[in-house]
Amino acid sequence: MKSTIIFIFGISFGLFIGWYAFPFALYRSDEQPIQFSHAVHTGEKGGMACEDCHSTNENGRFQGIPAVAKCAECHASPLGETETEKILVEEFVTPNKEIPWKVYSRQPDNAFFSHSPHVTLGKMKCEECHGPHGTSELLAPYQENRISGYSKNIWGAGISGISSEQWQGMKMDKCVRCHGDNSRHDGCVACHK
Amino acid sequence: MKDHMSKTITRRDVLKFTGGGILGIMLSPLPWKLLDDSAIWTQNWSLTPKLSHGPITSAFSHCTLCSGGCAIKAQCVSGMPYYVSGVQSHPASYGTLCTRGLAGHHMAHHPLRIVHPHKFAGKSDNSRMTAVTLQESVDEIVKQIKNSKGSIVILDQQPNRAISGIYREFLNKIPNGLYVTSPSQEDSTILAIKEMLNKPAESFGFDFENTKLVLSFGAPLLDNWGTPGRMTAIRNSKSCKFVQIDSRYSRTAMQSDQWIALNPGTEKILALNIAYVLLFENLISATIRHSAVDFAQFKNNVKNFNPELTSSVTGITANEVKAIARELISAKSAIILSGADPGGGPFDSETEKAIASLNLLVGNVGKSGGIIARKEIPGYNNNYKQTQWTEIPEHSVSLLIVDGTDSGYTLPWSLIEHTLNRNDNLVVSFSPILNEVSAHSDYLIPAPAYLETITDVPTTKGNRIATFALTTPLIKKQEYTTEPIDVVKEIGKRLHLAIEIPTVEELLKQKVNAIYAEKRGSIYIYADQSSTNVNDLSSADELWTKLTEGAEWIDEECKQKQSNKYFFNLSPLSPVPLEKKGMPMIAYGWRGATSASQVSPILSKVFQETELRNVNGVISINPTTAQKLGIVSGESVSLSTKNGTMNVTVKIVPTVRPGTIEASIAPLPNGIETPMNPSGSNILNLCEVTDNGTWRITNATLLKV
Repeated sequence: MKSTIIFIFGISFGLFIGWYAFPFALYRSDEQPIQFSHAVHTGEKGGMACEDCHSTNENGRFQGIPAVAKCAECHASPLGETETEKILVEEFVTPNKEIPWKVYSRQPDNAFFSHSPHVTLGKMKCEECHGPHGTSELLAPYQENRISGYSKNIWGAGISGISSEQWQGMKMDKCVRCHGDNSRHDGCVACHK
Repeated sequence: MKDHMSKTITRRDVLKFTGGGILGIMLSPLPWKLLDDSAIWTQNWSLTPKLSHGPITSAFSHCTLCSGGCAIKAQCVSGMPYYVSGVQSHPASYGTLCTRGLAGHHMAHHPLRIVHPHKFAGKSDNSRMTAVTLQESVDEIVKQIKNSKGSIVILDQQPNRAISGIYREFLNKIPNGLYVTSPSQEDSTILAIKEMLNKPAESFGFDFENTKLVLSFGAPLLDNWGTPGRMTAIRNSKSCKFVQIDSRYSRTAMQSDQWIALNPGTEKILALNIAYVLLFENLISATIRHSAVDFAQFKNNVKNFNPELTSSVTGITANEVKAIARELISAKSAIILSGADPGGGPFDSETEKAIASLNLLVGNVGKSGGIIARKEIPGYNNNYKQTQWTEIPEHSVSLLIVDGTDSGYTLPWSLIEHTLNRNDNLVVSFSPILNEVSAHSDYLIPAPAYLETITDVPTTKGNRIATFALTTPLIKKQEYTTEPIDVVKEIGKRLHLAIEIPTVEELLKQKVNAIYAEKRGSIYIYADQSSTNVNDLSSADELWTKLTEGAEWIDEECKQKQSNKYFFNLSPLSPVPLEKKGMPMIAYGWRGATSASQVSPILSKVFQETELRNVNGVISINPTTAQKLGIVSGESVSLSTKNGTMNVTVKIVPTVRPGTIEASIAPLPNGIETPMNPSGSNILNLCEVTDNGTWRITNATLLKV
């Protein structure tokens, strides 16, 4: 009886380590250089759409996070009196210095991903991969995997990597599954050039 | 019960707990997540070069790794090119880039980059390189020019550039100044024809677009020759028939409509066999007869070359020769050219003349679909006396300056070495990387790498119309590099020469001003595919701006009439077979004309494994030859020539002619572009350079080790 209890206790401890403690140890949390509210920009007050800032260039190439010059179009001088606004203008917009954002969705260098065929040809919505990011009030801390160096968002919020939400996680299995479901080419060289 | 629930923790309890813990962990995502992360970690070594993150932009420029002049479009991140592609709208390359061009942006990051002026304590001994200042290097060059009585030679490996004119001007100002180039040039047939014409046009080009037949004597036409995109487009259009005369089943022979496999070293005899049929079967027109001033003498020289009598020498039957000659006439327009494989060595001048004379005999010079006149770029003068290597007396060169823009595999060091003064010589190399030639230098002055500096892209050899473009720098120039023109300028200043040498940018602006002053041609802009007449531009500055943004100046069609008088000027010849001492070894440039250029060390990724097996140090022989010598595939044998001996590995290939050896000059076995350790050997240096300045065939012997 005693040994059974000990064994079960051991299992529980292992499960606790694997499911609860391990994620804490695995990820390092970092704040973004400044805070940013997507909700303020895309909500009723701002009225902006995702593509107003995350646009494509003349070659159809997705530009990712906008350069500080884009922020300067509205924030050349402070809009409001918040501390964040002051930092934005004084430290980045005025000296024209790029904001060193920590990118949640950055993929490994050996994975080639182009937004254009997905958004333009595939008519996919930003939310399908990025979830409700566009309506977030605050930027979540950037959680970096201590081993791989990539963001926690690539794996997904849960340590199991299993989620009913399509936008949770951006691993290769998600790409392959979506390509398979939509009868799209999913050969290796499509992404690994 | 009390016994069962004892409070004592036994060893068994610890093991049970551990076992349970392991099972618990195994039932969690931890092992699988660790496995996944570890796999990703192995792809992220800190030594792996990584691109910085930043805005992605694109920029136009031009490739200058060879003289092909292809336009490139570079994708840059934070201003650093990471991907290069061709420009679809470029009129000559049609968006095609060769393998070296696709990897050209790697060159600035080459592992053998020279990062400081260096002095070699002992020639060819990399381990004894010592850093010196630029000033010390220039001091040494100036001292050598002042004190020596021998020749001062500049070896320009990419002639016809703006800086080439400066080199020639500089050499004219000093006693015993000689300007030389690599002997293998893609326009060697044109140069031979120019020598034969009474009043040649400024220049000539091959009108491949309108021809019906291309007869190539060993030129790697479909293996990165000229502008590769142009040749590929012509081949794909099937507008003309390609006939390749080659003693080797080269890549061009593979892709041609017909391969004529002749015995090694008998190209001249075959060319004169064809001339014999044209002359003695009365296939040529009366106009041609009257145009040649020395027609009777030429016919007399050719009479010994009856194909019926020489077929055993060439390996080509008389009927085959007759068929070629008749096809040249029936095609109405044909181009006959050599322009030998740069790695395999040039033809001797008599062979070049014999091949070039066929164009005159069939009336292809100055005719659409043949070899047509073209103008030079305004401000460029390429009608100069070029010294041939064979004209330089033995051991007469005191100073050799090598403008190191090539791979180092187009010139055997033995050819250079025998011209150097034995007791008093200095070799200086301007090269961005250490290569086969620069590794033999006394002083190395690092030049900017490809895409680090602005350079001109003059008309591609063999192009039918003159063109001009600029290579816009896309990579920040390294501080330790010096423009070759600035070194020459400093030397001129220290020698008090009466010569004004501008900076690179000033020199190129002079050329652009000259084009603008002529108001000739048009400028084609890649970004919007528009064309504007130079006449419609407001200033030379506007022309400069457009050229630096990605455009090409294209000349008008040349309306120059070609003089109808010419001299064959062929020496009396007899069809003597090659002297046989052992087996003929045919050296060849790996991937044809690619061997002439510096290539990226990781270019190997784009080649098939079978190609990469043909490294320097691997020779190919026919199965019958192998059987006769008792050699098996993969066996190590001793390859000996007059110049030395080298241990090589044998590959048995049925397409190799029985009784011959084929040997690739590159890549070297210790790395795709790593210069040989001086204690090692190199096929190129085993090649025997003849008195005619060619090393196409070398008598060799194979011995089992």
